[in-house]
Amino acid sequence: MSESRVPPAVVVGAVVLACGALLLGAHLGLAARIERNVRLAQVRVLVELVGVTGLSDAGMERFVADNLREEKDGAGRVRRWIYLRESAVGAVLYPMEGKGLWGPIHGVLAVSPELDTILGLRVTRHEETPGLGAEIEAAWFLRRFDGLRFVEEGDSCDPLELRVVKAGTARGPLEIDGVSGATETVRGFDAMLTKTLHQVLRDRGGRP
Amino acid sequence: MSRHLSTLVTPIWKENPIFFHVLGICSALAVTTRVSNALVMGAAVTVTAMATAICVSLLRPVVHRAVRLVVEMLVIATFVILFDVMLKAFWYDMSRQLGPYVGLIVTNCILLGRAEAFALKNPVFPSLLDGLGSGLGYSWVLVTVAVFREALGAGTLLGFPVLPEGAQPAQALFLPPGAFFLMGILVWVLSAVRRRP
Repeated sequence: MSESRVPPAVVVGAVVLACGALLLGAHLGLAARIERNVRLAQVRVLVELVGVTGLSDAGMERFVADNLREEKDGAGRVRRWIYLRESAVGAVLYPMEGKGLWGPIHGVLAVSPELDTILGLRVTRHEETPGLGAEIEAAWFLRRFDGLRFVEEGDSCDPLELRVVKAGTARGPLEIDGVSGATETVRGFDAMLTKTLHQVLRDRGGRP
Repeated sequence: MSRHLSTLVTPIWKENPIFFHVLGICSALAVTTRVSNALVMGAAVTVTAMATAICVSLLRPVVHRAVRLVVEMLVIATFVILFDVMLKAFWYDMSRQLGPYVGLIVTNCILLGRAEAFALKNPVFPSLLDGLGSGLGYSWVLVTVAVFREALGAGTLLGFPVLPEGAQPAQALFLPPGAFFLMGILVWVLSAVRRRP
């Protein structure tokens, strides 16, 4: 091993070049495929949130293209999706964005056509600690929000205070137990949800 | 037993990386909630350990002692990233479930340890066998832990229900501390079995 006459720098340089070339090749070759996977994962979330199951990958993309109307804001980002079921609004989906402990959290919130009840929500991207903060994407946690009504009866636009609290301390129907061991993540998640719900309430001025 | 066979079998049983060297514990605790996760993680370590062993053994005549760690780390990191990228491209759901743990194989002591202790001193074929053996040694312990955790903690095996109707899964086993206790018990039992004359 140590008796080689090839200078160490040359060996290291050659290994770096070879490894770099290999990784560059893999990246160039697979980037399009990975991008498609990321997009499909997002599409799958939208399809699941409006309660449709059993579609193929291509079927899901077609379903979203045919049945979900995208609304964009001034900056060209998706503001919300309107799901049209037999020419009536079936649900409205809002993209969510917030800050977790380690990085951004992204998700989608589905609300009823009347914009007063949560139909479901999903976390699509996060960088939280596996086993702790990462549990915000788990079904057992997200299920707690299904069917939750976040405005008063009648047509009032006053928001009810829906809050995600420390695990095991939830009181009343509008306090949701968080994830234990993930205080910062839950705080970020709560802020993200509150921000999105406020946007929903602003939209209640004019129904879709 | 022939020399080659012994090279392959020693790291699977007698000097198992997990319960003899106690290496690779972090990922072993993290990804063993599902048997499918453990299988893929085991495959990832086995494949990268074999590829690393081949490369390090091939480079053995030209690598100077002073730069051997740099070269080993470059090779390990390259193969791990390759595996991670392939997983993202061809099995995206699994890649999401394993999260950062595939990338963290770079820091798995089994790979660097075997490259240092074996591949750097031996020809290609025995190094390949040693890499394969170490990977399989890691994998079977992982899968064993995962079988217990998934069956008792979630009541399923590879997604199929196994617990009798009405039985309550022990969620504690699903949480990280559960894995720790289970791993401890397994290491204890296996060490006891291994030491018997």
